[in-house]
Amino acid sequence: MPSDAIRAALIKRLRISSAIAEEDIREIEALPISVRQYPAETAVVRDGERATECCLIVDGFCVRSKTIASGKRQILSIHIPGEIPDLMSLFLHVMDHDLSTLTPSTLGFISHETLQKLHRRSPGIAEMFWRDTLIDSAMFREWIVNVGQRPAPARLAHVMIELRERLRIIGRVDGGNFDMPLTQEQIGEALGITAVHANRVIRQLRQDGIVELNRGRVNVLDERKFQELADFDNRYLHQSPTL
Amino acid sequence: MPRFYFNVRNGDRLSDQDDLGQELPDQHAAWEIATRYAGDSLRDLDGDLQPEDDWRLEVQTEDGARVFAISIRASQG
Repeated sequence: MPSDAIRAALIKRLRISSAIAEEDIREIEALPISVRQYPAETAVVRDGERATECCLIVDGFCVRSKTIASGKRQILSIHIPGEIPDLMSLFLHVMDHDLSTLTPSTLGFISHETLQKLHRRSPGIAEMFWRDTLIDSAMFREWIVNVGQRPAPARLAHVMIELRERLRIIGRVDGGNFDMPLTQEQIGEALGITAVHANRVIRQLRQDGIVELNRGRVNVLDERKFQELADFDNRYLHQSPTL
Repeated sequence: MPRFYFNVRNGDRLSDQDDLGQELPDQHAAWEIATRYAGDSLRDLDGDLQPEDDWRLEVQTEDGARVFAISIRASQG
């Protein structure tokens, strides 16, 4: 795979959200990345594991999740190309959650040693990584509010819009439509509802002419109603260096 | 695995027929999902449950037999 294809989504996102400096782009282009293919629904790093590498999503979708004693799983976040969902493992040595693929994915692994050397010699990159993990936290705050307070239809709409806005930055939104390759069961796990309820909510949103989700593809029917339902304020995504 | 259908009625005003159903290992699993779904739905009714409403979740098997129902009745006074 050509080097620019591996790092493309990451650099695109950093250009827009963090106004990455040219010399830092060159550092990222020079990073040794070991690319591996993963099948769908496969663990990348598990809760309790001591990681030695960070994982850059080159292509595909992944999720972070945690499973409780009763066996119930909560999906904590959905991840897309250009993201490094386990960047925190650089400093938090033992994973406290699972990282797995949703779809077949191309993942690029960068050793912790490489990343540590990188951010020690480049304060700009160190700051960007730090900012990235802070934005991660902002997204978790919003996820808590979403799961804790919004009724299920609004909860789903919010998760959809959040995903869309992140996909937009890397050029993966096609006329308002985008991929969201989660099963109804997984949507339930993300929203904290049963698959039956998720199925109901999806049907309701289509019947109300707001949005449809079909075979992992989201098609917005009424943008204004969609945004109103989701009560979405994109500030928490901090998608520009001034935010 | 048997397939279970989760049908919702809210008084006479809203009836939601489940035409997809869900495959579950046994009745116990269906019961767990029903109680969870009922709780989550009640939470989302968010004022839409009126006094004298009769919210009902009925769980049926593929042959139409009703396995169990959960009903929530609201009353004023």
